Amino acid sequence: MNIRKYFKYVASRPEFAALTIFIIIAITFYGINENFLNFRNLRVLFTISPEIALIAMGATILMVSGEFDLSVGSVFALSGVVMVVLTNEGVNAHLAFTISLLMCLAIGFINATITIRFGIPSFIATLGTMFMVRSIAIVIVKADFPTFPMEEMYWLRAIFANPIPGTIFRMSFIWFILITLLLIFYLHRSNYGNWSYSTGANQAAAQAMGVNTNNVKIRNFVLCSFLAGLAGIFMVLRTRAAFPSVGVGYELQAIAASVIGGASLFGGIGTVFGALVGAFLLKFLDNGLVMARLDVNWFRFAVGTLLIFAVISNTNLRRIANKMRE
Amino acid sequence: MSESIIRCEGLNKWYGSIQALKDVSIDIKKGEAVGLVGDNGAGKSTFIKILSGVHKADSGNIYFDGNKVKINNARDSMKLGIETIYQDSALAPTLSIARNLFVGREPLTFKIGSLGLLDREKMARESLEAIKRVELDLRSGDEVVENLSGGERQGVVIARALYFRTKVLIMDEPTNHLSVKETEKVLRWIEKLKAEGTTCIFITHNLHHVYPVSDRLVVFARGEKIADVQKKDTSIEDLTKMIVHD
Ligand SMILES: Nc1ncnc2c1ncn2[C@@H]1O[C@H](COP(=O)(O)OP(=O)(O)OP(=O)(O)O)[C@@H](O)[C@H]1O
Ligand SMILES: [Mg+2]
Repeated sequence: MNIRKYFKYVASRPEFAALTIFIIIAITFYGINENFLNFRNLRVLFTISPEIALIAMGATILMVSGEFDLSVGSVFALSGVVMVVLTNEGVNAHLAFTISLLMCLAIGFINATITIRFGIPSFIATLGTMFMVRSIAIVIVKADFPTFPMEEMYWLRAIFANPIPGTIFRMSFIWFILITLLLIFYLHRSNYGNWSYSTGANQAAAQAMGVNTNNVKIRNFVLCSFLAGLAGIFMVLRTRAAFPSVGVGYELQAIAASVIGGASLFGGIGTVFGALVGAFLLKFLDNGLVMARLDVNWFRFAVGTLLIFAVISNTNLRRIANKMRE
Repeated sequence: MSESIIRCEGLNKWYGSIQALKDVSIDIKKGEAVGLVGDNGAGKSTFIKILSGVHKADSGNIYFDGNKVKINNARDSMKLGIETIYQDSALAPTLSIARNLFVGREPLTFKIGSLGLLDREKMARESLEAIKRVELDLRSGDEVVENLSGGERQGVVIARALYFRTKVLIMDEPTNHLSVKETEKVLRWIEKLKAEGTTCIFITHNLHHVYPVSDRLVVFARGEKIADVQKKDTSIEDLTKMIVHD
């Protein structure tokens, strides 16, 4: 492969730029504090990063098809709350788990329906459901936080949350890898993926070629909501607590991770791998600041800087790659 | 060449209180190249949108290959073998040529329900062949469409029509915004489509573009079909008079 071709390849794939920044960040924080990459902290990093990565991958797929979901942070909170509250009410834990995930699918479907049927921007539709879902999560738990049903959740924890002895990973990481592979198949290797891209890039063209763009969007809204709910359940099983206030701001972090990973706000551009790298980058940055004993409040500043930098560089890299005809 | 492929009877279309089509009947023969001309707002786009399933006629019948058909959406139209190209909306700009070529008709290696694994090898191979057929100077189907010139984009769209052996290709202003050279290319492609037996219907404001490649010209004015003539029976001057004076 000649250099020119190689450069074009890299320039047209912004997830590589994100990966580079990710590696630089990891090395820098390691340089500041060796403990950043020790066994204990890696375990922390590989536990929290997949949760936001699941949300970010869903957000990216939805963005590729031209829509946004701002309700993911609220869904993240509600799924765990519903599962725990139902179990406390005497419902079988596995049934509660299933009901909770079905509810997430339903929320995704509602987001899609509001957006499509009434032809309003999904930004607004899901801003509405973001408030509504958060409100429901808070109302359900009432004033006091629900106790975590340790015994009933034994198997769910064993399947989804417990640490895998001798490794830095928890069970959730295996699920995360599995889901990532499925999402890569879905977005990059399947016809549904091709429909998602064409819907986001040019809805009229996709329709003219016989693609049912409404179905494409419904599917991706549902997928996005499902992933957010699953991430919420992973977190609750891991922390053994269901707080209705978790996940505030995750919707914007998910979008930030997507954009840093190369997704375009205008639809039709973005990759699952990019979202994954973007999400890991955010969590490594967050944790790295703590480990470096810097004021954590710089996290938002850093994210903001990265975001702006990413959008500018992605746009320019794309322009450069486009100019380089083979 | 006397068998009809699309026959419309008494099509009417209202947009609110505006009647965009008034009792339009047209009989298009297999393999014919028909140029639709007329002033702005004459109803040309409305007519082809009905054929491609974007809009539905309020009344009237459509026969395809002799059978009465209902075209409710783009899928219906495509299933019949009708493909429509709109100047700006035929392709997804951020996708590669290969992906664009197969949108909605992806070759799959296996599938579960309607979800399937893309046959990317076939997509790469066939897309390259398809663009070679229209003599586009591109080395791979991986090139992103937004890098292509307007003329090259039309080439991709026409390559798609050729590849899928579209029976009827409808083009709304295929030479709009194109340079003289690119326009010539598009006109050559239309000749090629004709040679392959594809029926072509195209709209253009430039009579000098339609005239050489059409077999027949249909003039619209204020929603009505005011003339329907074989090229040999008319001239650019006659047509211009009709469009301007009516
Ligand atoms: N979606 C729509 N809603 C309301 N009115 C419309 C719509 N589309 C077209 N019209 C009206 O219908 C009439 C016919 O429009 P049409 O687009 O078919 O004309 P045209 O012959 O394609 O014109 P042009 O050459 O300018 O493209 C015009 O008066 C137009 O304003
Ligand atoms: Mg028009």
